[in-house]
Amino acid sequence: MTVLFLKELRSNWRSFRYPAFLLILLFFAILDPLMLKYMNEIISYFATGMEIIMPDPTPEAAFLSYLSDVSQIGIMVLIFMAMGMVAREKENGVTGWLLSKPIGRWQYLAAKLLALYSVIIIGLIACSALAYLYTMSLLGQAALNGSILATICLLVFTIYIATITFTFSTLLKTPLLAGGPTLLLFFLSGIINMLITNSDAANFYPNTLLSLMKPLLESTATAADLTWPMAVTTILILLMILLAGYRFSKMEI
Amino acid sequence: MAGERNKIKGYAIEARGLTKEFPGHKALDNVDFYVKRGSIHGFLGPNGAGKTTAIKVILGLIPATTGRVKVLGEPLYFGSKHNFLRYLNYLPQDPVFPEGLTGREALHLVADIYKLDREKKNERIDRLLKYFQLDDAAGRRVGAYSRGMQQRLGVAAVLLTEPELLVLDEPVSALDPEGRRRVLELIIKLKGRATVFFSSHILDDVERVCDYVTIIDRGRKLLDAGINDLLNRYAVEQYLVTVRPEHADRAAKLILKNQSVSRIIPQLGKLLVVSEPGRSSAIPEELLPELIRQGIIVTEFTQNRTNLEEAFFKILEESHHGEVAR
Repeated sequence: MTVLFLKELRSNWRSFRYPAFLLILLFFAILDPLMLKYMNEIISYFATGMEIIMPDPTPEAAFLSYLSDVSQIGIMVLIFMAMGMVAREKENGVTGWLLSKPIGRWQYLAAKLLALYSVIIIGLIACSALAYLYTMSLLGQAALNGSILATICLLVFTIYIATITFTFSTLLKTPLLAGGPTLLLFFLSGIINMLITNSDAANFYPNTLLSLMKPLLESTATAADLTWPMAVTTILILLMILLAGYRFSKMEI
Repeated sequence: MAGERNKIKGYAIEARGLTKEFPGHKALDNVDFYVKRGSIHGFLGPNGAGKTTAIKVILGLIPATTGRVKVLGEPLYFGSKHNFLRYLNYLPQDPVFPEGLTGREALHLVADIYKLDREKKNERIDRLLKYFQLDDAAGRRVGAYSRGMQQRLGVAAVLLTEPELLVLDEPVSALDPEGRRRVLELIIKLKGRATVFFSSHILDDVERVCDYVTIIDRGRKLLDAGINDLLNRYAVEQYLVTVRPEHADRAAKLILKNQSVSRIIPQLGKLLVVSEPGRSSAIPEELLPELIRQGIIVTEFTQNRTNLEEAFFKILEESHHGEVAR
């Protein structure tokens, strides 16, 4: 298991998939607080002859800007990064080669999933901490509790999307076949979220985790508001892992 | 340990009634074969015969539609983790390695999967890289290797773990003559110490190294036999006769008159004499004394043995004729 886990980290690092994702996180962690701090100066530089007055940036707005960018562009990069994690190896024969050795099928999948989750967890925590500290140095301190909870929301949602990508990558034959439905589902779930945002159904919807980031940062929502969307998302993650594992255990390689 | 388990009697691979159906296509049709422990067993057949499908079934990568397989005495159940995989190593037709790894890292990965101890691992990896002339390229990524280098690395990865059963799918297809020689030499050295089950379309190589062969075509087993039995069974008895050039025409007329002779084929100053079926032994007994009696000076009279390639095509031809007749 450790051998496969390390192989997964090394392969994805060398093929620049993990670095690409981490660089995107780092990019937003550095750029967003800076952009918000100097937004008025940037606008006045480009919009000469007009007077546009922006409200003074708050630390919460800067941190939220980072979280929002990661929840959109960061997650799209993640989908591209992870769409081939199983499908590519099935396609090029590496899966067959590995499974002809004393490696269980669940073990093979678990190593991949653990490597992916590790990169997401470490990357998001490190970059969120960086974004928080950088925001603090430029604009002042954002609410710590709210920032931690909002980061946890983003983390769980990112793991949820990563698991969808992993599941499609396991079930389907090629990386493109896996990436297409995941992207479609990602956009579709965003649209559905807009439609149900004011209904009770939103409590049981994974995208609500993203909707809660702003109220958490502004201290208008509490940890208790996370209970249902977090529980539902976690259950969905577990169900998808079970589905992928079960189908893979019966799959012709 | 490799070799120890080979002392156990029984088969390394037992496949009974193996059938594999894909939608609209039967890749294997009730195939039986048995691979003896410690033997080198060739698995032959034209492209699309079902060789790779059979290998994938044996490795547990795809399920058989019907039939039973035992590997190293352990029954195969598709989807289960099998103990025999610890003693087996497989080389695919086109060796592949995880993306981004160097040649040395790929071998370390294999060694770690099979849990080789560190000292043994490093010593074996160095030795194999050197033997397969990959030591200079060991630090380069496998993706940048030529096909031949990848195949050499694949063979090294198989030998690294000293497995009891080696399953090799076309192990020398991409190798240059020197690479082929090295791999075949190693396979010959394994005889009696490990079981080698390998598919190949290079019949010359199979004839050189194998004890037994199984031939399949269009999913059906045509034959399995010891290589010598096979060659004897399908030996179209032929004799090469060389006479003085001035006696050639007279010798040809005389040979053709013999009732045991089916035909003669001139070959670069020699005469290839083909016997009537079942009458091959009469040729040296009758023909040679007759030629000498007639004053023809015979400088060469040798049996031209059938090789595996001729036997292989004859078996395929018989199978196709049989199908047409049915």
